[in-house]
Amino acid sequence: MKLKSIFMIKVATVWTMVLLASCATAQGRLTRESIELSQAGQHQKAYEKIESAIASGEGMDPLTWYVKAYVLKSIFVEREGRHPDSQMRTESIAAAMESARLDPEGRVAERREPLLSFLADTHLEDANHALAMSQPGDAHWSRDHFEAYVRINQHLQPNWDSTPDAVLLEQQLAEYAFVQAETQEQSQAGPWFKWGQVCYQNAIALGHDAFRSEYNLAVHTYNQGVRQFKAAEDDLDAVDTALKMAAILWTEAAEGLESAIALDPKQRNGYEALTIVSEALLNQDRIAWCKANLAELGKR
Amino acid sequence: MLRPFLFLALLGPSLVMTPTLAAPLGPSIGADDVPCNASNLGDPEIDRSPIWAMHFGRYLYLLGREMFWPDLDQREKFSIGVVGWDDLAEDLGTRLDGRSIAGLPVEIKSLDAKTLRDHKGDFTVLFLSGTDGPTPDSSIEEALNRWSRKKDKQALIITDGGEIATSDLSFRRSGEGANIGLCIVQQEQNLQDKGMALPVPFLQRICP
Repeated sequence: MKLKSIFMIKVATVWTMVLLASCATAQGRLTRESIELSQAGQHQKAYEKIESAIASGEGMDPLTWYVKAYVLKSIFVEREGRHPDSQMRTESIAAAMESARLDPEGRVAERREPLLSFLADTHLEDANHALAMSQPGDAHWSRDHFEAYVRINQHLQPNWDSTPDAVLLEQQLAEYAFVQAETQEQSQAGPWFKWGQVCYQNAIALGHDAFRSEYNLAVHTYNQGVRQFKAAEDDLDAVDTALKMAAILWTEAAEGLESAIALDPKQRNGYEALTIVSEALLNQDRIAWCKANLAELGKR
Repeated sequence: MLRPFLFLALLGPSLVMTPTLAAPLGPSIGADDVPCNASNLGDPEIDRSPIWAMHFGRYLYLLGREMFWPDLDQREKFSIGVVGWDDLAEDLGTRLDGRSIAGLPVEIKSLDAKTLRDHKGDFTVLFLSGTDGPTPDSSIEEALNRWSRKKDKQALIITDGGEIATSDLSFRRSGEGANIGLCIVQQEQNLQDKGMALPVPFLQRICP
């Protein structure tokens, strides 16, 4: 028992020295009390205390702002259940940014950056969840969260490239729209389908993972034509009109697949899909061309 | 004495990550209304439906429905034989499941050249595939000739575009790209001999 106590004292001494060395200037009384309250799970009181700390002059210390960011983050997570509309998260990010502004030497960076990174990731998750709230022409829920995610990451790494994530978001918005177009075939397919096209075209314009965007858009376009074609069967005129309307979409799909193949001629699925589309369009030359390319790829 | 531990624990980056990783949807975004898991949207699969089998199937069904069929009262069922095109036979089976044509229950038979040659009975409609294109299947015509020699056959014989002397009609794919369709070639004399005539909507689609 005595040995254990001695060991505990030694450990405490070592940690205290480490702490004093690294945080010598960061121990304002009110900040410290806020930490204790937060650690005890009293987040609201911790928040009030850290506001007092900032108002009383401890606010010049980047660590105090970091503690504010942490306390607000705790409220966001534990009290608000990571609510996507949380004002606490917004304020937590602002406090962390203020900490960064007061900390040009990066004294608190090692603690602040994981916090910011975590908050950025929660925005990315919310952007993803908010896909289901998008409407044709309006994805502001997702995009607002995504922009917050980008702002934080570009603060953490000024050269960070948001393009891959931006493309993925547009692809997911497009996929969501096409699912809606399919499930609301009778009433709302048109607006959702057009919105899906817009989102994939946005993704293509960003120039990353473009084969996937071109290919997926073409497949959806072809499939939409097939659904329209299947829907009509009352009389010969309706049947022929449905075929002709579908053929317009299939022609678009063929052009999209040709663009995809031009981007990556080694992807088999591009030729396979174009074969199916060309069979529908009775384009014998292109069927032969696809089959020749597939045979060539098969040899490799 | 232990205050520094509190401080250290709070500042440790590991604590930042302790909250549960699953982000629940808040009530304001209508979690109950989310129709699918938006984060798990995968890449689409191309629809492999046999477009032309379906299109031929519709033509056959509509022809069956609109044509005048002589001596139909002597038949027990409306029998459609499909040679060499399983997708078409399947499409017709699905399309006509539980339905009737001219008041008769429909029977679909999927055949190949050999089973056609050996088949003894008649059909109401016999559709022959593989007759069109640069290399038509000669065994089809041969099987047709063998089959038609047995007894008196009254089936309306339709090909998928090829010209066979004993056929009555051809449904021919036409065009390419956005201008595709089916047009019809009729052997008028053959049709007259069987007491049949094309309904008007089909006459409007005679190949140029």
